[in-house]
Amino acid sequence: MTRDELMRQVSEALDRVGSIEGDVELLRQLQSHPDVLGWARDVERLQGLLESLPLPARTEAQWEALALRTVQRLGEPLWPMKDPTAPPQFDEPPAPTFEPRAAIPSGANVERAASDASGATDSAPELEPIELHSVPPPPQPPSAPVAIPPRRMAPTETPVPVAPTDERVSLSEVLSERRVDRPLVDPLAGAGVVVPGMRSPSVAPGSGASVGRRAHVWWAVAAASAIAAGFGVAWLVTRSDSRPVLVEDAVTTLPPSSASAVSRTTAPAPVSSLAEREQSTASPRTIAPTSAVEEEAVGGLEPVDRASARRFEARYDEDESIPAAPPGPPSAAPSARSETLPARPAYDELRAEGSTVRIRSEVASGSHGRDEGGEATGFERPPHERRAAGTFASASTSPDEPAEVQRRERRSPRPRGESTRGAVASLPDVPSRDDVLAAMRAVEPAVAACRGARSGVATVQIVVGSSGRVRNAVVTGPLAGTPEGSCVARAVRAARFPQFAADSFTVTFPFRL
Amino acid sequence: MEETEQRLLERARGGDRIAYGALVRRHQRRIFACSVHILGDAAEAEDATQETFLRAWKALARFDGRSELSTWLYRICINVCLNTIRRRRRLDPSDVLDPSVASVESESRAQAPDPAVAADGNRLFARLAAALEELSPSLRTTVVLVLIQGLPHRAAAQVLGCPEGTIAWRVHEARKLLRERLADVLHELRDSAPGPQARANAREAT
Repeated sequence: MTRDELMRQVSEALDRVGSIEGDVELLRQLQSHPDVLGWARDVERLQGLLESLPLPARTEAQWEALALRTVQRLGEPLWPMKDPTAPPQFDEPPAPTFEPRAAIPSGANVERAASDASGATDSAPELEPIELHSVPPPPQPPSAPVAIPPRRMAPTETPVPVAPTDERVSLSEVLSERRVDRPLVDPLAGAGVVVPGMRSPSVAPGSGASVGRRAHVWWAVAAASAIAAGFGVAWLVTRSDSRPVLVEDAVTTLPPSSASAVSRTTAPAPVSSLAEREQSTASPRTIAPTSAVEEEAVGGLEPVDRASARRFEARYDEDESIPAAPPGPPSAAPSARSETLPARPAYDELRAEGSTVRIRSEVASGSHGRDEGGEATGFERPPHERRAAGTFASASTSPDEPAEVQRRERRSPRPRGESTRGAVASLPDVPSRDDVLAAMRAVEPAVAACRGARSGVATVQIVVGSSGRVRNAVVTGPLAGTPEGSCVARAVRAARFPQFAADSFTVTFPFRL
Repeated sequence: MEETEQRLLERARGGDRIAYGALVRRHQRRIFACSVHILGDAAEAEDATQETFLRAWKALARFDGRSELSTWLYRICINVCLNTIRRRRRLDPSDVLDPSVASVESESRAQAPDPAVAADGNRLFARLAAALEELSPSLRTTVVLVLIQGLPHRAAAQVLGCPEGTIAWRVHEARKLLRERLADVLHELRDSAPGPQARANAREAT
């Protein structure tokens, strides 16, 4: 009999009669296991301590007063609560179960304990634990190959770039395969399309639902990227009057592997360099050589065609209520955009109530001098717009202005996430004022429950992710660092906002306790 | 006794607060004891006791009498205590004192006449209370019901809505954990503590 089994029998004996003294057979077995015998004695003492654990002393008058207060409060309303007569929920994983000792053959205790540890507590026949000793494992020859479902592409093979519009992989195939059964091999990998950062579920550690869910997320991202890239290439080709330069521009916006795939299948003719490309467009202007500083300024930007830049410019002007620039050199309007922007009108009212709202997004190439910390003063410009302003401002100082501006316009920044913007086109840039107020109202009861000894205004700076979940909530003001402030921060972290397109969203909201 | 309780229940279902008050007086001590051992704080336990009886009053029409009233009240009490624990978690843990230690210490000090014995008792029960606090809510609740309140496994299973085997597993796990965490205290008690028979005699005497 194993040590664990003996310990369990000791526990059962204590439950039955409160002592192991009455179980002669158990005592005899414990003689050969002195460590378990010591454990049993300790547990007996522990039980004695638990039984003698003192209670706070209360007089009869105190008991009577408690009963009277209880009866007096019978008519009082109570906080809403789930059915108090329902079985308690412990927010823990289900515990294993022991069956009565007599019902288990002594030889099967170890196997039963093993099945108990697996959490099989249901009495349904299909969930009955299998007795391992009665079901021996099937004999396997030592040289038997492991049954691994064949992959369409070996992990060591070099993926052959193929355009996502290839016949072998279509969206319907992807969706149908994902719907019918949880795939073990990603079809994009089979088709040779490699999405950077994507880990094939077939080689990922772990199994089961978590892998399936992770795979589904990557599938959605991969499918959306592939579709957006395909449509973007087609659109660019049609808009550019069959200029191969735009195709190559589009190629540079794609991940390396996908880019090579698109260029091979859609570009009618390879174009080797920028100068050659410009010559092929029959433009009357010549491109001046780009200095190293200017290359650095635009190096992190993703190119886009001129029409996109103009459309982006028009939207920018419309959003920020800046009068349209007079017709003339393209550098005039960008210079105006480099000035300080007014606050977005939609949040004026919110700020008037004491809340300040701003967007803070991750910018890989810096913020061009915009303030990133301190108290928010209004609605800031998204990072891609900030980069646009900086780029256009520097373009106005170029000696070869028209050609340079034209080239910069073609390379003007594509808004971040443009390739997937089609999938989230319906999302707003940031939550509206009503969304913010609704989210704050939802957590208001929890915040009100934090009322303690201290009172005052708890100003909470809330950073919301694009999924609508709160990334961080920090209480400032007089309640910062107090238990009430911590409670408020915890309550606010439970707030949920609707999804939005920006990377993050910061709102400062005051709560009065 | 049962008939009296049954009559009191019938009157209470009809809105008789005096009859319900009698039921409160009859069961409030065990409910308070359960609450104080789960929550570890006398003030919170008193609130939980009151809330238990207030919620039981509102749900009295749903009590069909298939189980003991005490079992039904224990279940409400544990749900109320679990709510209190969840609410407590929302506070900053660094700002929450360990109320169980303080209450047990004060109680031991009040009962023990000898200061040396009181000091030993304080240290012993403080360690025990701290070890109980470290158990998960499910294990702690089961220990309180079975090992402290003395409910049989069947009754505890009814209260917690789980199989008896689960109760046995939880008790066994709690014993292993408590013994591991109190190994030094139990080692000191090996020579000084009375044996099981002496303890049983003392229990009968009390």
